[in-house]
Amino acid sequence: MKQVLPNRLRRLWVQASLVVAAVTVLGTVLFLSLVLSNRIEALKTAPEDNTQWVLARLEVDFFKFQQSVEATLAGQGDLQDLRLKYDIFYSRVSLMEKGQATRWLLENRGDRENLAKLQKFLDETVVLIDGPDEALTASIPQIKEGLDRIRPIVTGFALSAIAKTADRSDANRTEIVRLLQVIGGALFLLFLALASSIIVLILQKHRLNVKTAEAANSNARLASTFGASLDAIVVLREDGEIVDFNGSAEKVFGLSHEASLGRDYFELLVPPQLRDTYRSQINSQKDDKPKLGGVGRFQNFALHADGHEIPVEVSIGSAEGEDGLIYIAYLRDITEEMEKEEQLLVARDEALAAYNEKSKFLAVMSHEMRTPLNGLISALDLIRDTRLTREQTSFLNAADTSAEILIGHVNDVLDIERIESARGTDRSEAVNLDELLTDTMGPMSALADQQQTLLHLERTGSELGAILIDRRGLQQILLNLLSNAIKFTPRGVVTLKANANLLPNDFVQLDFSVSDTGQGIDAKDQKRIFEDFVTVDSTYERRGQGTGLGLGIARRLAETLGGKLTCESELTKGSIFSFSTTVMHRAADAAPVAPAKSDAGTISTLPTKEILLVEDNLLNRQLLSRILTDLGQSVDEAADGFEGVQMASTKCYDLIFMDISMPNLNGVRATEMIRGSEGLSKFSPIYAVTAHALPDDKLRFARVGMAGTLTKPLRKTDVIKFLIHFDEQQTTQDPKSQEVNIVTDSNSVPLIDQDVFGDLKDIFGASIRTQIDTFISAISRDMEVLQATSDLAETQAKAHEMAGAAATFGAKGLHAQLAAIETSCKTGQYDQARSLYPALSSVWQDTKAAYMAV
Amino acid sequence: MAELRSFSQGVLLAFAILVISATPIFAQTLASPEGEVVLSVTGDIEVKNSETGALFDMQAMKALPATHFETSTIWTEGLQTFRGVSLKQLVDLLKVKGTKLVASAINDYSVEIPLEVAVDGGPIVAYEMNGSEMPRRDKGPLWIVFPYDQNPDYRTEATYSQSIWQLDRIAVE
Repeated sequence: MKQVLPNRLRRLWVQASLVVAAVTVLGTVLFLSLVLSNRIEALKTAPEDNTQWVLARLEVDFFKFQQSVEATLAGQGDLQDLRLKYDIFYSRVSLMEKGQATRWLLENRGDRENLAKLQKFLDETVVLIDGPDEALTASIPQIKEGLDRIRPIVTGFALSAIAKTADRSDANRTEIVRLLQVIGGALFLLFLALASSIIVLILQKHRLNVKTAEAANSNARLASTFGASLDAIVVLREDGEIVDFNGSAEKVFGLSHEASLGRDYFELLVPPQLRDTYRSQINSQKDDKPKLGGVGRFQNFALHADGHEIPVEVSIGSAEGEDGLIYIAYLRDITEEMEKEEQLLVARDEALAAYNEKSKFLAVMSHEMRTPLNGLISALDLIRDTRLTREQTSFLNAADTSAEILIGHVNDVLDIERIESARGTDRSEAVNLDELLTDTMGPMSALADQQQTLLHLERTGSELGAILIDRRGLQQILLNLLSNAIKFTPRGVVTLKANANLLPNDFVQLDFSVSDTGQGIDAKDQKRIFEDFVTVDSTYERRGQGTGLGLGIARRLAETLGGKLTCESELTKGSIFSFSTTVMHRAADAAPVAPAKSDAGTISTLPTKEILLVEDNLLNRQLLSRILTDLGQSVDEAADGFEGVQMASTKCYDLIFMDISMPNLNGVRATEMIRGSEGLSKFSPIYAVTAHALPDDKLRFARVGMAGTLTKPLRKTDVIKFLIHFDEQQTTQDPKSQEVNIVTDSNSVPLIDQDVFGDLKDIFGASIRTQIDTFISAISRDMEVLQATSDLAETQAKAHEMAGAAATFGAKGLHAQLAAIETSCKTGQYDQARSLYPALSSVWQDTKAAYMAV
Repeated sequence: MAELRSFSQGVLLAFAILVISATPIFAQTLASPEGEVVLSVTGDIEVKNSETGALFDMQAMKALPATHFETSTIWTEGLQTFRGVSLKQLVDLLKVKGTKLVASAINDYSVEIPLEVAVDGGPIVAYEMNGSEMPRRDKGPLWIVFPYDQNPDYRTEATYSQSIWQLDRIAVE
């Protein structure tokens, strides 16, 4: 519309100007015609006599008079005739003076003088003419003489008359020609204006014809669209009356076109329970600008003629009809689509179920494989402790290597299963990134040496305290990438780059990359390598012993960390695997330290404990029992859950190892019974020993009162590490609160950092006691100062000072509390800082007790 | 003397007019001219007073019913009053049978006047201008004059050519 309007205005303007032009020109023509007509009329009603004739008559009358005079002179004349001719000539001359035809003669001086001469002749002669005959006869010669004198004048007048008349007619002609030219010009303009108008009219007619034809075409198209549409189309008026109903609608609703016209749309086609909703929808939209048409497609139910409901996809448009708004409802019978969708859903559910079954099967299989493998490996370990020949040692090494590879494969499969099932759960824990990197590089150096590969770590970016991340996941990604790279890069260089970037709000951006100078990966393989069970190169197969799951696992883990593992590679140049993730930064918190390093020296110093071992598998039970006994522990064995519960009730064990998968009474139930009983080991720390390492299970174990989980297979080194760690915990815990502390071990901060404190003990030796006392009294004093002050700056300074002392003494929990207070002060939240005081006091009391106990 | 004679002639003429008006038969007869003949009408006419046709002296002319009007002409200056006999009345009086009048002047000028031109309110055979008879030296004694000012149709060259002065003969054809 917006574009049409100016066009129409322009057309109107053109038409109006043409009309104005035509009227103007027509007026001009009419006016000129009037002028011409008047002019012609003027010429017709000659205002004067014929000049030429008048003067010719003058000459004739002159000659007649002269003739008469000469005849009289010759004696043949008659005076009467002479007098007549004189009178006639006289009359003619007087006519020239008065008549309009000869008035122009008076305008010319010469003519006027000549006329005067004529008059003078007549005046001189008239006396003679009117005189007596004798006198007249006597004066004839004199008259003749006068006539001879005026003769040239008379002739001259006659001649000049010709010229004058010619001029006059020329002037008249010229004027008329000019008028005719003007009129002709005006008529031409009029013709142009009329012709233009006609052209404009023709063009408009043409345009109108085109528009009409277009409209007709469009109507025909609409009609054919309407008729041929696969969708049912129902046109209804605002009040719901059906005004049109196409062929498809007949099929969909089982109604004929005739039977539906004039009926109410809602009564006829909408199921009774939906009618009110539909109506109110239309009514509510009636007044708004966007009509029902704005709703778009939606699914609903319609009513078939035989009463059953059909699922339909509906789209409603609105348009201005002749009598107000009309609605055009497009309805598609989606019965088939719905059925197909249903089938698809079923198929998908089935596929998912099958997948889950397979996963479960895989997990069970791996588990079942791992249990005998544990036995195998443990047995090999035990054989190593016996006396062996050189040959046997070599066979044993081979068997060990094979077992390692095999357990690696099983672990890979279980890793994937674990990652898949762990999706969506938060496995974050506080991690010291630099420690983690160092720990990761350590095990790899052996492999690198073997391949003669140079291994670098490049740590860039911010210094970090602790970050919250899935430690095991991150470490495994790096390990997988590094081992992969090293395998591919014999005698080359492998570099692990880690960059940390502090972001606002305590976030940290971490960028990791592992680059190598190996053979590289073909572009077409670069995507494929992240798929499961893919090994790109046969040389890889020969060199490494991968399942092809390493990169797949790394990819999955990177995803669970919120990153994406990518690969850039060029054949013969090398590859770069990299991924980035963003994690929380916990500056004030100290990460739990990695288990203390174990060495041969510490084994003998492990304190002897009473240990109950509950395990149904004889081999596993014997192996673990042997390892523990070797480590100087006192071990009782229970062959199943019931036996375990029974034994726990009769003796107070320092530690219970509980297998989970046991017939009759499993480990979880057994633990519940021990905790629920009034047996002697009611409060003994119980550790689950299982191949199930899934988080849900761990949670379940913790809920029934288990202190932690040990994952099978248990190697001797694992057991040593565990016992060291366990003993450390025992020394720092009040035995009464032991249970609680162990259950929440992954969440709480230990009161004393054993590493730090261990160092202190080494340094101070026997005098450590004195140092501890000094520390306790200093902190006690500082606590009083801290609580007495209400100045923010002083509080902050004191908290800082105390935190430093706490860190020196490895009072980890205390340090964390003080750091939190300091942080609150730094951000100006003094109230928050003070709200932490009760917790601080509590921690300090516990810490003090722990130090006293040392 | 001349004045006295014309007075007695006038009385006689007035008497004659009375008689003519009273007796329609008189219309069939036309008195013979006594004075100088100023106009002779010849040709196809019923009423004659001589063998050749109808002859009029000035007295006879003036004895006929007179018509007068005021008009300007292209031959004179200013308004003129003309008195004379209506050409229509003259034609009716003489019971003219032809289709045209060929009027001729003393100077031998001659012009054809279609009979239709002779209408009431049309041309007259004037014998007086501004109350005086017209001398021969000034278009007299008879002049066929049209009421040019009253009717624009008379302001045409055809009419001007029919305005013959010094008229003395009319031949009916």
